[in-house]
Amino acid sequence: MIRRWLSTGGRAGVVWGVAAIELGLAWLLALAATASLTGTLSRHPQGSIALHAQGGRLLGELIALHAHAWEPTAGLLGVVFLVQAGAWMLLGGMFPVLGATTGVRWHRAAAESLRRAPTLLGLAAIAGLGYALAGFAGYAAAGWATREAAHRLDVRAITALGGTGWLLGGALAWAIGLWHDVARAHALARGRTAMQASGSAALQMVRAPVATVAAGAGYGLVAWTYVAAAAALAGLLDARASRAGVVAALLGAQHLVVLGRVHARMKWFVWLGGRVTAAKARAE
Amino acid sequence: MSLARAVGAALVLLPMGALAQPAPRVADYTLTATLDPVRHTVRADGTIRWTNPSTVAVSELWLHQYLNGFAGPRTHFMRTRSGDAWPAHPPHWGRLAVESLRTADGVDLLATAAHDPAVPDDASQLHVALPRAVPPGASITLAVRFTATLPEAVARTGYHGTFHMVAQWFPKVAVLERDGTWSHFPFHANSEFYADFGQYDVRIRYPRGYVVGATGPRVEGPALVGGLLEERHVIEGVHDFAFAAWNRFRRADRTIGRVNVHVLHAPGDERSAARSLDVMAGALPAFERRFGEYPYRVLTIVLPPPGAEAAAGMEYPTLITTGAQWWLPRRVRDVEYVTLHEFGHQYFYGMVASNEHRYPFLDEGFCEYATARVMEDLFGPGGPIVDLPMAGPRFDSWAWEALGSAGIAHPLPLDLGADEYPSWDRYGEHVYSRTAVVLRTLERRVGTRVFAATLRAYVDRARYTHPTPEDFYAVVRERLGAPWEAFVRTAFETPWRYNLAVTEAASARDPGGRWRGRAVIDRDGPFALPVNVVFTDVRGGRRVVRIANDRPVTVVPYEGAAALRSVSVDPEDTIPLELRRLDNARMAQALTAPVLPLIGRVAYWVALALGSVGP
Repeated sequence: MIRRWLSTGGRAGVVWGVAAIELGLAWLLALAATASLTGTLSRHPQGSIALHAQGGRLLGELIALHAHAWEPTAGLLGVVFLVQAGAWMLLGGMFPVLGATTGVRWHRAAAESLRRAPTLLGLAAIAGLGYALAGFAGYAAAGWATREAAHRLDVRAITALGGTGWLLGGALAWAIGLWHDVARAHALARGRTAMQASGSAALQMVRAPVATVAAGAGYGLVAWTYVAAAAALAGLLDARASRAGVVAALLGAQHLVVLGRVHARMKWFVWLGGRVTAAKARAE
Repeated sequence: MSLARAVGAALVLLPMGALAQPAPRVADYTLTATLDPVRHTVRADGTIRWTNPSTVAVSELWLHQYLNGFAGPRTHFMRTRSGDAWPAHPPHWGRLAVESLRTADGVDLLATAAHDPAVPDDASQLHVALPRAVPPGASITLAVRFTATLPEAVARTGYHGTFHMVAQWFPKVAVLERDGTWSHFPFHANSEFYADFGQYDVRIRYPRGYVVGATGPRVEGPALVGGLLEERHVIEGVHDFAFAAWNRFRRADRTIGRVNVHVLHAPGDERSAARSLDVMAGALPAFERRFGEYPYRVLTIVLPPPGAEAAAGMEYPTLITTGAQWWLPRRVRDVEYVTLHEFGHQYFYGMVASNEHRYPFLDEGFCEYATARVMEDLFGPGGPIVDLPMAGPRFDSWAWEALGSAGIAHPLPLDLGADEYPSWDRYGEHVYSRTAVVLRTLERRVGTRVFAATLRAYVDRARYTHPTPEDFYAVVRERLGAPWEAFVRTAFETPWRYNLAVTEAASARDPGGRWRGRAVIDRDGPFALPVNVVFTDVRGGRRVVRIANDRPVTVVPYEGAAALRSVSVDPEDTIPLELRRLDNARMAQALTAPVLPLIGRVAYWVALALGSVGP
């Protein structure tokens, strides 16, 4: 069972490679982002444990002391975030290609993705509009709930309405993300244009909503379960953060989460590739 | 009958609203007020009986009409507002219109009354010439009729929908000091209030369906009078009267000791109400242990509904407004902190009735100290406000105060008047947090018990009076001695920065195999307070040296069998008013390994964020 779950059908190298690149980039950014903090903390006898000391006073002092660094750090992270988003917009076909076919080398998949860049950008633009719409819907629904309900409902209902507004926006955004994945699979595996792939993806989600949505949710849930488990572990172990072994174990677990997330994405695209290939075969 | 029982029986026998020890009756108000929740007005009439508490005869009165601070965009209040502390333009202005003010023999005092000519466009003060002088100790009774129009909820008062927080709604006689000087002032956006003790006998009329919470115990009603409900509240030994009314209030009650605590809250806010009652169950005895008896038999806690947050977080005698999100976890002690702070004002403002306009640090700062102190009493060391082990570092009340004080970029003295601080933010950072850390420092230096006794002596002496800083200094001098009086004078009367830092820690091996080195301790600031310096060596050895800390720089030599690992100055945190604690400790050699977990954790979160736009 576990072996079956871990298997990506010969695509493990890509999973490890992408996770390693993401973690490497993250470490470089973390080193840059924390440079001023670590300079201070490396001189403190408690090291990073000082962040938990004196009832939050030292943490507050660090934040205030390095306030000048937050803006450039946020700027740097923002730029890298945008570059990453842009890069994966162009390489967004790589996982769908790898998922739909076996034995394709990752650089060939990347090249195919770049060749189909206009299609991928078109799909990304449609998805971007959808995300903006989802954000606005959440904002509008939560705002309406707060304004209109204040004099009529009890405060729990007001909170629930506001929360529901954001939940609906979030659910819409998630559905758009799912559709974007499916559309990319159709575009790359079946050679469809952006508009054709959009329609095919929508059709698949309508024709097989349970299977598609359940699979998308399932693989997403797995990835988030890793994150939640790591957060719980961090919470449990933080009190004993002075032990080097505990700290190393936690860091190891967190890095495995990143690997697990990439792995779950690959599994999802393998599943999607199978569905799209089958649909292609039926159509032919 | 045991002594405790005898005392308890005596307290039970006291009439509601009466005090175990006498408070002066300088300004007595007997009013009948009718709330019109549609027009958002309170029409009232009655009498004000004022007794001259000074040593000189006076032939004038000053009345505060604070509600006129919201009468338009050009009032002193609106002109002095800063930042986003209060809105520039409430959707609905408010005002206080005194329609009639006459002496007992019918002399119309409004005919010659005037607003303070020194403050243009402002009607928050009314000067009244009396037909004859009132000698010291003599009284004058005035008949008054007025209409208060409430603003849309702003700066602690006003309405929101059908919710009404009726505060600063009546003409209030200013305080005449003992030397015959009137302490009157225009309502300033940084400022709170100042008034004299007296008895309030107020009948409140309101439409059926409404629930009212008011200062003092309800002694009559509610009963129908002319189609409206009427209830009567009578209390003495207080210097203000406020009430809240809403047709959607829910109520939770609990008797704590001899005090009936009522919480008025919005539907669905039962959880916050229960938390308010729970914290008061511990807070009432804790405050009484520290600061003496809470002499009133009632406390009303109002949780304003969503949208009326401007009315939240305020103190009136026996009535406080708080507020919090109902869904916050128990270990995020927002509602507890605010409730403790506002209840603390029953002492520092209520009974110890300093001039909030002239010396805001005496009420807000002392109350802030008391809040953190009782937070610690109730919730353990540090007085944790946020204590969610799974979600990150704990955050304590004392850390909150210290960080607030340390954040002051341009220090000012703490004993300034509220109107002397150039902005609300600068007022807040000085008056609240910095005062609290000064008192906390005094506590840490002289010992918890000794300081508690000192503060208690001040509260006992100042109870039902209008103390000034000199009264506090006198108690400190008597109890703790002249050096500590000098300390508090410097801390309260001068602008200061204070920091201790280990700026150098190094050692080297001498030819004999011993390690010799030194630590350099820099002191930036005025307080020469002796502290410990702790040396640790790489083998785990520890040595403590006491330094006088009476110079800007102190060099402490090190000698040991092992290399110096680290140096800490004042590791016991006996000077919480320091700007920074981070530089109180220093490694002889910077080490990267202890900070790797931090970098790793940040890397993890960055990787997750990057992954969200990844494959």
